[in-house]
Amino acid sequence: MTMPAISVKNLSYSYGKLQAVKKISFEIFPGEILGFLGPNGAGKTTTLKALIGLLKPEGGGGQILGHAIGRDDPALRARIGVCFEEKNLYLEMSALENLNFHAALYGIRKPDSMALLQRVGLGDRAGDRVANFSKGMRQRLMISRAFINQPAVLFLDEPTGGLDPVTAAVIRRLIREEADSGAAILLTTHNMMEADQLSDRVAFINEGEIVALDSAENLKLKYGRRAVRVRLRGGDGEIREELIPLDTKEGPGRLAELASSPDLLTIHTEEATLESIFIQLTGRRLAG
Amino acid sequence: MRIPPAISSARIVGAIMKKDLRLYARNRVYLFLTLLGLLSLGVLFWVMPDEVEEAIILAVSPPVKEIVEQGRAGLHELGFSEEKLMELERADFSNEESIELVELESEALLREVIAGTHELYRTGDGDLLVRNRAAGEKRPGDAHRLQIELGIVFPGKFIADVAGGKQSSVKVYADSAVPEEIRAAIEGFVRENGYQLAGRELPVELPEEEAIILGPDRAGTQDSLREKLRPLLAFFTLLIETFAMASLVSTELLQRTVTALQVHPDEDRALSRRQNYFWHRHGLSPGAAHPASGGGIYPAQLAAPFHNHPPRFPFIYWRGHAHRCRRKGLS
Repeated sequence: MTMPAISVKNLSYSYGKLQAVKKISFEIFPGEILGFLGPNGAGKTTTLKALIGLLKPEGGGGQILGHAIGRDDPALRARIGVCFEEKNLYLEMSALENLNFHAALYGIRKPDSMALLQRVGLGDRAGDRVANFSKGMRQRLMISRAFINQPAVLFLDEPTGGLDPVTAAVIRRLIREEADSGAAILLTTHNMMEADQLSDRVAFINEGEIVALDSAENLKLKYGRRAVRVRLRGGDGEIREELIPLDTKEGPGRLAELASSPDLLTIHTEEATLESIFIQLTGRRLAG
Repeated sequence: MRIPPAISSARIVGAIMKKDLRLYARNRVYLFLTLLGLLSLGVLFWVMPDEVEEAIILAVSPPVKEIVEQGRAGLHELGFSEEKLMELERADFSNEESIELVELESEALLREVIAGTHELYRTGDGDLLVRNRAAGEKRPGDAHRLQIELGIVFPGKFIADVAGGKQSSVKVYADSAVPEEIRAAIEGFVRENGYQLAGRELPVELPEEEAIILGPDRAGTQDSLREKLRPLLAFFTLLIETFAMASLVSTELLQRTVTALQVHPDEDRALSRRQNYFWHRHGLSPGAAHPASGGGIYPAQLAAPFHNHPPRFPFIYWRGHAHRCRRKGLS
């Protein structure tokens, strides 16, 4: 049986009187991406910081790669990679210098920084100062920095936040590649699409609590409502829409009735989205 | 399986120093200030005089020979032999340690010289030339000016009076810029010469308190301003270096790069401690180049200001910040 790379039990943390994380528990297995989905202030980043050792948990605990959470453990730090939400790079140094410096801090004698930069599409800008990089380029460099020590566990805090769709897609591909090579990844995001596309499992976190944790498909099946949207032409020539829930007693009959109507234009299935499920469970929007 | 490599402390310290030097060199403000500091400290060092002017030039009126001549009759009456008087006339007061005597003919000239309306010059042959500056006379060539700020005028019967044990009055003229202690020194000089002339204690009262000067007599071996500047240069060098270090640390905090360092295996405490140690205790920074421009510095002078109180505030600040980060979750 595969052991989880990250195992968290009843983790808690407070900022003064504000309890930011309330006894959350979850596991992440090697090669798995767990999407931490929640709005700003839900406790995603606090959880991440507690796991990487920047915050000392108040309660609960767990293990990462067999090392206890909450201890100052250099051996664990050597095996994890972190991509912070803020772009904390040395702006006056080149991309290559940034990577080589961090590689040295990990004790890597001959880092293959250039190959890493080529992998994230920055090979031709390796010698340029980071200050001259665009937001997307800096984020790609941040991702490559998190990969520099070939970590077994990756913590990614909003890795595609504020990026254009093309750059975001590149970064998602890189994250998927790392997971495929065996890394366990904790991905915090408030981007529903990203969590849906990238995560093997999704944890909804709201006000410091995990309100749901499963694969996106299972969450949709469990909480989503099956429905079809039917478009019809009215007698006055106007087009009207009707949403027919299929899980109700009247639903299938109504759908059959409209399907045989000469005024029928289109029928579309309405799938539940993670956002709609999140709203259903928490009453809050993800972007809020 | 991914196995983390062994981490060498020397390599980490080397990487940090390399990074800091890069950042330092690429910051135009740092670079400008460093070059400006290098230049100005170097210039300041070389501009400072390398010699110490220990002698005070003292004007005396009337000339010693005249003083002796005027007191000759009285001295004879007191039993001074002609031979003794000849000795006094030949006495070379200019050999007095730390005081060079310039003999002037009249009290009026002495006053003009000290007031600055007249200037005194000494030629290569030792002759004195007077220039009436107020009248616009030209400066004499091949002569150097004697900067006279003090003068003593002896009364005509000075020798006879002091030899006879009578109270005598001596006028001391001083430029307003002459410090009080120099004037006091001149009064002492007058007393001493009076004693030499009279052969016994002058009929004057001395204060009960006596100045006791501790340490070796530095007469003739005083430090020049340049020598005195050396420790100051060391201090400024380390000061500049400390500011540079503080600036680098604050930049790390502002750009939040310190947060990235905190998740490395060699976490913030070891990093900052090593960084602090190397930069401050060994002075391995661009700032260390400053004293080199000023003709070098003694290792003891470099280390002395910080042996007892090493500058630790950037270190403390960083540590404090790291602690707050961990406690509050702020990065």
